[in-house]
Amino acid sequence: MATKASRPGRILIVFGLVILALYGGAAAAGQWKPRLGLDLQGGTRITLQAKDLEGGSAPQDKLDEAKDIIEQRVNGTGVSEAEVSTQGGDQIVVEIPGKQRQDLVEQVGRTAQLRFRLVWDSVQGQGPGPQVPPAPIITLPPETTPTGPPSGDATSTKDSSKNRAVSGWMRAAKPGGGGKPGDKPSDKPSDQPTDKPSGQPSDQPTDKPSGQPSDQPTDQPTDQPGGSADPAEVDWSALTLDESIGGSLQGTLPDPYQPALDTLRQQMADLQCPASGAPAQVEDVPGQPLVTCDVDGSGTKYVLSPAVIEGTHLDDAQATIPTQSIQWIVTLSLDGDGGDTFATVTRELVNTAAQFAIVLDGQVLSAPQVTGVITDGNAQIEGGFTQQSATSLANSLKYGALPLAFEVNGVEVQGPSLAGSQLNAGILAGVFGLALVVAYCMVYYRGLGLVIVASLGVAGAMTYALILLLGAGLSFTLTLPGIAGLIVAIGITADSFIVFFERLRDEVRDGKSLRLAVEAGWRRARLTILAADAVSFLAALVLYIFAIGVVRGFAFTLGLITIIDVFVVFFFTKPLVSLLARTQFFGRGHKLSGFDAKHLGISGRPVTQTGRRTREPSLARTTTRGEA
Amino acid sequence: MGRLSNFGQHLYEGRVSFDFVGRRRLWYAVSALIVLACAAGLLVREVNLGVEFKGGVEFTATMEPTQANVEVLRDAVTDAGVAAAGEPIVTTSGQESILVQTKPLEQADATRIVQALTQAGAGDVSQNLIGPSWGKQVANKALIGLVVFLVLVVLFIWAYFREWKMSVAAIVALAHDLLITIGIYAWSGFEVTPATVTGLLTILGFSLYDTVVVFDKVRENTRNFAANLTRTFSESANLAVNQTLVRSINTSVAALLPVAAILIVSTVILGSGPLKDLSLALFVGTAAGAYSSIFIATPLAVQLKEREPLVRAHTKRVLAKRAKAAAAPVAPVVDEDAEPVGVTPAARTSPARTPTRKPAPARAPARKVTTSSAAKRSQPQRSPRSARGKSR
Repeated sequence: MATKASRPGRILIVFGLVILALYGGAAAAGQWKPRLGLDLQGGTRITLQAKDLEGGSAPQDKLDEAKDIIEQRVNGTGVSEAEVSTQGGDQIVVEIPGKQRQDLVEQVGRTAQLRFRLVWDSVQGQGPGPQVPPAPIITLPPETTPTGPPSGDATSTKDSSKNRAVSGWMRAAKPGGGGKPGDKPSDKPSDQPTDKPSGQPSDQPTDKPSGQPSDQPTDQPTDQPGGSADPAEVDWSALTLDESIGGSLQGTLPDPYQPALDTLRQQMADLQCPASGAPAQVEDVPGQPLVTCDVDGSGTKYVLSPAVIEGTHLDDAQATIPTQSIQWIVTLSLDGDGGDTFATVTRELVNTAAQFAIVLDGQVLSAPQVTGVITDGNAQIEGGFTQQSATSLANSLKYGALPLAFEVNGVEVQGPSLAGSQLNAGILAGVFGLALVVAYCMVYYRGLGLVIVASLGVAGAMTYALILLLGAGLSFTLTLPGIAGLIVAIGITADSFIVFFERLRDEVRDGKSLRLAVEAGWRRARLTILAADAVSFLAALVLYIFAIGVVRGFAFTLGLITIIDVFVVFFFTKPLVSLLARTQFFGRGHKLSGFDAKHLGISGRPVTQTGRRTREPSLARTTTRGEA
Repeated sequence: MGRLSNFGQHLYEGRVSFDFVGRRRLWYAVSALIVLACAAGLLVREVNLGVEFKGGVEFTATMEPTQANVEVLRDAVTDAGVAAAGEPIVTTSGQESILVQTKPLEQADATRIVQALTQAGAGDVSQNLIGPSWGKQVANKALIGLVVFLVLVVLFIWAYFREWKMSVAAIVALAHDLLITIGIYAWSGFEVTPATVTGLLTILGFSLYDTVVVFDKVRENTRNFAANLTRTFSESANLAVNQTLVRSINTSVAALLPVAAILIVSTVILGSGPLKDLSLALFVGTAAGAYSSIFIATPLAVQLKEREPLVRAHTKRVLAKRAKAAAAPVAPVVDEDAEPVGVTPAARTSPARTPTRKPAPARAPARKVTTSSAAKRSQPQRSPRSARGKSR
C-alpha cells in the first residue's frame, strides 16, 4: 500500500479474483444459502450444563464422550437432523432444527449416571399397584433374622430359577421388591423369587417397612468398636469387594463399617420415598453407600454398597423377547473389567436371595437376584417387563452411562411463524439500515458515496461468501443476533471509509492536489482505520469468548466483518479511489463527484493543483501538522 | 451538505471553534449530573433483569396482541394448574405476538402450559426455558467479560498512545458511557437480557473507536507543541477536536443509522427480543460514546497533560507572548491559524510580523476575501505577488 505508484488496477483485479475464488469454494461445497439458526427457521435447542465439576470445568474428553452419548440418545429417538455440540467447556447443546420437540427434553436431558451396587438392605414399600392383603410373611423366620445368612432362600431361589432362568440369567427381583436376604424380619425371601416375577409386586408390599428396619440398627451398632457411625466420615474406599459382598449376603460388615451400616439402615427407615415416581432427592456418590428408593414409586427402599461397577463399563443393553418366551427381557453386556467384577459378584451371590442393584441417577432401576454365575459379562434381566418398560430400561442402561452429570439449563423452542417473522424483521432491518447509510453517504459525499456503496457491496459479497463457506466448513449458522451483527457492521465499515475520505479532505485543505491527497490522506488514515478496527475486533473477540448462547452469533459476524473491512478498505476502496482520482469526473473535481473544490472545502484553486501557498506562512491552516 | 463541508472547513481551520477543552468544567458538570442521575436510578430502581438472568420460562404465543387476548392467555396459564408457574406476566409484543413469563419450571410443566396456551387459541407457541442456576452464570460471565475487556482496552490504549494519561481519559470516557447506558436502563425499566449485555460490551468497542479517532488527531496536533508559541497545549488539543468534529459526527451518524434501523424495525415488528435489546443498548451507548470522546475524554487527557512541567512552562510562554502582543495596539489577541508553518521559532518572534498583520482587517474587504476565499483573514496579502489575483 505504501508505494505511491502502486498499481491500483492490479490490486482490484486480484481482489476480484479472491472474491470469485470464495464463491468458487462455496459452489464446490454446494452451499448457496446460509445455514439459518434455530431462531430463524424454528426448532428446538436444549442446553445441558455439566454440574458438580471439580475446578469449574469439565475435562474435554469426558465432555466429548457425553456429547457422543447424548447424540446417540437423540438419534435413538428418530430425530436424525439433530446437532449436538459442546459449548463453553461445560455445556452440551442439542439443536433440532425445524421441529418443536420439547418432549425430547426428558430423554435427552436425562443425565443419569448408571452404576451397579450391591444391596445391603432393603425395605418393601407400599406398592402402587393393587394392594393384596398381607401375605404370610414369616415363612422362614430363622433365615431372615437380621444378621442371618440367606442360606434358606438361596436354595429355594435356585430351585425355582431352574424352571425359568437359564444359566447366566438374572431375574429381576425388582417387581417383587424385597427378595432380599434376611436383614429384615419381615422378609419372606424364599417364596418371592420363585413365583412369577410379573405377578409379584402386588403381594410384596405386605410388611410395614417403616417400623421394622429401624429397630435393627439401634440394637447392634452402639457396642461395635471402632469406625465412625457417620457414613460420610467412613473411608469406604478401603472396603473390599468381598467385604461388600459379605454385607450383601450376611447383612453385616467388618467392624469398622458396621456402625455406619447401622446408621444407613436408620437413614433408610427415615427416608420418605416420593409417591409418584418423582426422583428421590439423593446424592449419588460412587464411592459412598447409598440410601435410596426404587424408581417405580412403590416405595421400596434400599441401602446400597458403594458402586462396584460403573455404568461406563456397560457395552450394550437390548430389549428383546427370547425365542422361546413371551416375556420381554433386557440383555446387557459388560466390558472386560466390568465383566470380571460382575463374575466375582455373581459367583458369590448366585442362588442366594441377595440382590445387586442397577442404579440410575441415584434411583434403583432394578434390583435383580442372581440365578447363575456370569463370567462373560453377558447377562439379562427379566421380570414383568412390557415392551415399553424393557425398551426404556435398555435405553437408560445403554445411554444412561454419561461420564458427567448434567442439568437442563435451557430449553428454547421456536415456532415456525415466530422464526419467520424474525427472519423477515432481520432482513428488513438490514435493508433499511443499509439504505439509510447509503443515502447519508450519497448526500454527503456525492460521487464518493458511490465508492462507499461499491465498497459496502463488495464487503457484503465477501461476507456472504464467507458465511456460506463457514456454514459448509464449520457448520456456522446465521442467527438473528448474527444478522444484527452484520447490520451494525455496516456502520463500522462505513466509518472506515469516512475516516479515509475526511483525511483526504484534510490533505486537500492543506494544499495538496487531489491525487497527492489520496496517497497522503491514505497514509494517515490507514493507521487510524487499523487502530479502530483492531478495537472493534478486540471487542468482538472478547464478546465471542464471553458471550452467552446465541448472542455469540453477533460477536462472530461483527468480528468477521471487521476483518473483511480491513481487506476491503486496503484492497478495494483505496485502489478504487486512486484509480478514480485519475479520471476526468473525479480527478477534475466534477461538481457531483464529491471531489469538487467547494465540496472539499477549498477555494481559490482547482483540486488538480497543489496549493502552492501552502508553504507560505500565512496560508498554512494546519499549522501544527506542518511542523510535525 | 455543501454548507456542512464549509462548516467542516471552518472547523478545520479553527475559524469556527467550539471550546471543548477550555470549558471542560461545564462539560464535566453536565456529565457528572447525568452520571449522578443514572447512579441514582441504579439505587432507587432495580434494573429489570430478563428471564435469562433470573431463570424462568418465556412463552411467545402467536396471537393478535389485544388486551382481551392477553386476559385469555393469562387465564389459560392460571388454569393450567401449574402451581410453580406463579403469577404469569403477560404482555403484548410487536405486531403479532403475546409474551407470557413464568417462574422457573420443569419442562413437563412448561409443556402443559404450551398446551394450555394452544388450547386458548394461540397459534404457534415458542418457549424459552432458563434454569435458575444458569442465570447466575450468565451474569458472572458477563461481568468477567467486562473486566477482561476493560483490562485489554487499557493495555491497547497504552500500547497505542504510549501514554497513561490518554489511557486514563479513555477509560473514564468508557466508564461514563457504560454508566449512562446502565442508568438509562434502570430508569426506563427496559429489560436487561444477555443481548443487552452483549450490546453493552459492544459499546465499549464503539466508544473506544471514537476516542481513538479523536486522540489520534490530538496526538498529531500536539506532537511538537513546544515549538509552537501561538497555541497552548490545550488549544492545540481543542483544535484537534474541532478538526475531527465533522468526522466524529459522520462516523457516529453512520454507526447509529443501522442501529436505529434495527431498533425501529425490531420494536415495531417483533416487540421485545434479542434484536431490540441489542440495538437499544447500542443506540444509547453509541450516542453517549460520541459525546464522551469529545466532551470528556479529550478535556480530561488535556487536563492531565497540563500538569506536566513542560506543558505548563509552554503554556506560560504562550500566554506571556500573547500578553505582549495584546499590549501592542490592534494586534488580534487570539489568532488561531495565523501562525506560519514553516517558520522557525526565531522567525516567529521577530518583530517584523506584527506590522504585516495590523493592516489586515482593513484590507480584507477590499479584496473580497471574505466571500469567496477560504482565507478570510489577513492571509491573502501574504501571497507572492505572482500568485495574486490568479486564482480569484
